[in-house]
Amino acid sequence: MSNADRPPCSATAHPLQPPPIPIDARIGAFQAQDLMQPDGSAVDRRLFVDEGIYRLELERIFARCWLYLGHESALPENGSFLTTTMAEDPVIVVRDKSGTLRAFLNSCSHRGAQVCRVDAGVATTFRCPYHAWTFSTEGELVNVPRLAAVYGEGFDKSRYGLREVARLDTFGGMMFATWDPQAPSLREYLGDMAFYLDLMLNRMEGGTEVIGGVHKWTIDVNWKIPSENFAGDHYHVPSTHASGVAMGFRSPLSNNGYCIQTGNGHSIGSEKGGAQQGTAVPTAYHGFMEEMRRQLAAKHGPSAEAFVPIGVGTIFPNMSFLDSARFRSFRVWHPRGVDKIEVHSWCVVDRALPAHLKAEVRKQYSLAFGPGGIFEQDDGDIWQSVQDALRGHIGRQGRFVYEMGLGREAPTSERYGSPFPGSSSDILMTEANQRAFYRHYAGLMMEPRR
Amino acid sequence: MSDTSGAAAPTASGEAGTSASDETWRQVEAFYRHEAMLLQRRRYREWLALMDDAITYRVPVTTSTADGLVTSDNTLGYYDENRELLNARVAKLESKQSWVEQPPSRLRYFVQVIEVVLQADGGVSALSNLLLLQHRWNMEQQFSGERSDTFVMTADGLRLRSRVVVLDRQALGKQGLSVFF
Repeated sequence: MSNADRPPCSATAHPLQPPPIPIDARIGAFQAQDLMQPDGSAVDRRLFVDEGIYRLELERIFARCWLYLGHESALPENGSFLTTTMAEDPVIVVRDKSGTLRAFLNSCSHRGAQVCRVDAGVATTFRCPYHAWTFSTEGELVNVPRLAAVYGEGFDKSRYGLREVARLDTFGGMMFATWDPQAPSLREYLGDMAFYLDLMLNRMEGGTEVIGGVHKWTIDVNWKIPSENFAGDHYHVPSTHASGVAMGFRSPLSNNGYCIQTGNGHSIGSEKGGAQQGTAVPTAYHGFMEEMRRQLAAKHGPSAEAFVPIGVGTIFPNMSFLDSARFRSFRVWHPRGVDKIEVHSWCVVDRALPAHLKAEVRKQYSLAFGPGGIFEQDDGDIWQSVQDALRGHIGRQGRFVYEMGLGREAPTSERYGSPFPGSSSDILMTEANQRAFYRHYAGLMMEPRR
Repeated sequence: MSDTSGAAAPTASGEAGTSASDETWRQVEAFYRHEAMLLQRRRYREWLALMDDAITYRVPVTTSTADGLVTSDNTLGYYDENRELLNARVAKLESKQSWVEQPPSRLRYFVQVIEVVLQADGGVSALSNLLLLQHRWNMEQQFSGERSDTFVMTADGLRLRSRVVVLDRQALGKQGLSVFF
């Protein structure tokens, strides 16, 4: 029986995870049913333009979820630091003087100025330029000018350290943090996604490292549009990226591949053999991936070949990656208001890759998915046009469609064998991952049950 | 305007060279005028023909440090190209389904030559300011930066051997970078 003839799975045989959105739940000023179908198959356009929803997202999503900070290899020595943001909150990520990774709100506890104003470096302390309060790499307030004379002897410096994240942890070199002391552990948060991340991050002995430098650019679009695109929108490839197919950087998309969602809003997807298969500007990376594929098949059986490279994916809420046949990129879609993002994007390579191949992979990534990338440039242009079309009174009415592949999900293990977790469809082009993204989103956004 | 005294002058790459003659200045300025015309009209195949086969074309990512914006080798570039990769970009932009340039942008290039130096090996290096204004159907933006070029002299005139453009703005504003610098 071909895939196309396969009967849809019944809802009872494979209950929805994340669960359906309760229609009577409240999301800020809205009833959940006004914003989303219970199964996530339709999403109201106001979700991408409403200021109230965006403020609620900052509180209930970005102040609670584990957010990506960067790659551990960017902080090689004690005192190494980088600055980034967690949603709109500026943070300093630092390896303190005993080697522990920490992250702090980049804002002086005295009167709010940013205590660090550069991208990266090595420091023993952070001194606020406003009144010169000075903080250690552990976040402690270590110096207050004229302390005794102006604040008095009783002033307790220990009360005024930098605001530190509730938890910081790493997975395969990826650094994440959360502001929520009640958050589950990072490993628990990643859930079954950890299995697939491990396939991507530990292909070679020594794991991964990041190439120096960060691509930074802005796109006038709500953060969920790119997050859900990278969750597994294969359907856009033949049209949005037709030019990249025409010039031979990638082969025409087939419907042969997987779209897997692993719960907690995380997902991956890939056509067989990976994205960016094409004959133009080839590199030796191709042969390297062939070898990795052989090794994975030897470990997990022949169906495992499909998982090198792992594909495109989103770690909820706003960290995405693209592990393609030519390169691997990590990126974060930092929200900058309801209608704007700042993208930070990196090229991540296997540490054991020869230096000349690292350089080639870096160039392939910039050619395709840097801000001027021959794929990225069309995504950005089209996403902006989405946002522009939602601004008006009429444009914000109605719902986006996520019905593709409804009812075709089944446990991934049924198709690929027992080690492969999550839920997948029998076709590559499906909106199952987006539906799962919005069901999880709604679960976080709903008013707490009393 | 040019100094023909023969004194060593610093170049963009930091190597010592000899200040170029008025004739060389004229050639370099003529190259930039012709290049601006080709880029504004998006005649990219002819633009590629102005390059030496060994062209390296790089617009590096900058990092903000206490000493200002810095760049370093073996780090990411917005552009990080040789001839093969430039050809690939141009082939992509020629597609009717290259949405980022459908409809095409209006582009305006302004180049101000700051310094031209004759290298010991007979090559020419030039430092210039670049201002580029872009108007696309759904947005407009401007870029400014410093160009450091080296040229080789051929029977057909100057050919571009290397270009490094350091942009003044660190996080690029606006989606879809689709212009050459």
